[in-house]
Amino acid sequence: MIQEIALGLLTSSVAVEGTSRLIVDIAMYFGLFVIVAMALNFQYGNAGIPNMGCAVQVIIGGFTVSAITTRLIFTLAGNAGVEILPWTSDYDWVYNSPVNVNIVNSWLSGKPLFCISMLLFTIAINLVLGAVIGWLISLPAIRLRATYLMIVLITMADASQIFGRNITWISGGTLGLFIPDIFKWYSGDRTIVMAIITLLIGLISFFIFRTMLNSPYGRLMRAIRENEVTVGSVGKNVTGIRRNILMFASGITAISGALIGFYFSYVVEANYQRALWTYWPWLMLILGGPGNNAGTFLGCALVTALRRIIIVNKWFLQEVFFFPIAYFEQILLGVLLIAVIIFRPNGIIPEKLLYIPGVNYRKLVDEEVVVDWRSASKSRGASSGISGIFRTLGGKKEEAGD
Amino acid sequence: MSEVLKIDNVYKYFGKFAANDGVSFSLKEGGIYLLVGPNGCGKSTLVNCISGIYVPEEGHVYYREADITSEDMYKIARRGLVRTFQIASPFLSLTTLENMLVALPENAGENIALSMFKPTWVDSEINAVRRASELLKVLGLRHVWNKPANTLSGGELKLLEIGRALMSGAETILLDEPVGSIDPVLCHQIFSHVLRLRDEIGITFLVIEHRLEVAAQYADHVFAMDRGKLVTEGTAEEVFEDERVIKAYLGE
Repeated sequence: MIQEIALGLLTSSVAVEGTSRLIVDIAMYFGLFVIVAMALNFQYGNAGIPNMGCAVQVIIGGFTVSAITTRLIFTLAGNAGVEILPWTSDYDWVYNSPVNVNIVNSWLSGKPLFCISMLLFTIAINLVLGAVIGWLISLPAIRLRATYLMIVLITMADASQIFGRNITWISGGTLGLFIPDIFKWYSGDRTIVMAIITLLIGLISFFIFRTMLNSPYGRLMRAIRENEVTVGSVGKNVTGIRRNILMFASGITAISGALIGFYFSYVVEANYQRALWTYWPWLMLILGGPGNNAGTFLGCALVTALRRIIIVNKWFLQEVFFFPIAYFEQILLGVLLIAVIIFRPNGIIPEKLLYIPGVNYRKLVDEEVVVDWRSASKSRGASSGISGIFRTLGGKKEEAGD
Repeated sequence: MSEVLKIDNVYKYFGKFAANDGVSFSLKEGGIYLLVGPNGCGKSTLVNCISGIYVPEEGHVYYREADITSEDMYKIARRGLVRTFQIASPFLSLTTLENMLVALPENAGENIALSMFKPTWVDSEINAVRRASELLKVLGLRHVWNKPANTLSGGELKLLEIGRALMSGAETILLDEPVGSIDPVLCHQIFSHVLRLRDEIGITFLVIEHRLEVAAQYADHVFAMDRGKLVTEGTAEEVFEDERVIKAYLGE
């Protein structure tokens, strides 16, 4: 049954409508927000970094698509002999954008491999640029305590929007910028492919975050959340670890910004508002249960579905409710947030603190193995960072040699 | 016995108030040193200066002949100079075992990149658990290994502080009030652990303690501070018979 529907959706050459449309829409937004919410769970739920600047991490994805991927596609199309209008000056970049994108789209329609490689290139460059921006926002802020860190990150999210509004070559300023349709090669409804790819990326990032949280690194993060000073007092570089967490989460979050740029085929700074990309993910996290992967997943699914259903059915809802419905989902955000904090302060699924799955701690503690506890561990120092990887992998080799 | 820790003329001011007013002393390897003095005489400030929480305004701190005066706390801890806290500060929602495991310096799974690939860190995690559970056995905490730290008693938390320092591979431990608000029986147990660790591994201890009747009998050497200055030093008998120390503790 599901296969038939999926096949039917994939092979249909007409636009999807009605309930199927809504399902695709929810799937798309769920894919996008599960990335942001899981990254937020990684940062706030586990490491205790109250990142109120998710929007800045997302907007980098949008800017990457408009400023780098679009330019790259234009350049490659120009080299391939496609005649497009001039686009190098700021003025041409904005005002020729619709025409140019139209020309390039028809060129892209016969090149599925090129389009997919562009998507992969965008994701790769987002990981790098997201990490760079994570490092940049960590520079002034990472040593601050929770409240001040929050304020600095909110400010940065707003600042990033102002950059986008005023610097034309990034995303076309207030007018925005059209993006080449990298799913032009697909004959059916492109939104379905886009939704499937987004869901796939969302689920992959969910599993990556879950694996990392179920490892000694996740335990170290929870320890930092509980007591920073103690972690520092046993020789762990807390500032460095927090910075790494922010960089990694930024890299992953940026992908969702790029995906929404591709989905709309249009990037404008106003699409990356603080309310949408920071407060909604926070609601998902707090509703589901901070620090709990399943909770975050559930909260994300609930809030996304509710929000999209309200937005799509506003005309219908207006007939039922007596008050103006225009801001109903924003009201809902506030009401839900207050209700959750009063009735279930730990979320729908509260955090359960468990040992790392896959290592049998009880057996290890109970078994009688003679360990020389007297010998202090000889090589001290960071197991984090690049040098740690080489040391661990190098150590493995030596053992194999013996 | 070589010199491990040398404090050279350390000054630390809070505003105009000198919490440490030119303190100098040195610790030799494998000793148990006791630092006494009335409340507010600058003992904790001194430990904070040594362990890198504060940076002294003047003077230097040397650990094994390396200048660690303005180093970050975690770098000092990696050298093997680890402190515990006056108010036990464990990771409250983690279990006793996990509290110990976090302190291990070399754990491959604590690398952000390797943590994604489980086979790379399972071995080091298993070794870490074995070492931690052995240490818990030595400290007599094994029966509470599975309890969250917020359910432990005050005495168990103090032992956990020592265990965490040991787990991080400490060679010199600064114990800040290890038996404050602990019953007399457990006091002697904690100090017998200290003695055992000194004798078996050769760990150097600097103990800050107010309960002189317990601490004095275990200490090799006693430093007495008053109003930010080192008043006198020597064996326990010498120091506690010194008039200046009695005056500082009991008043005129």
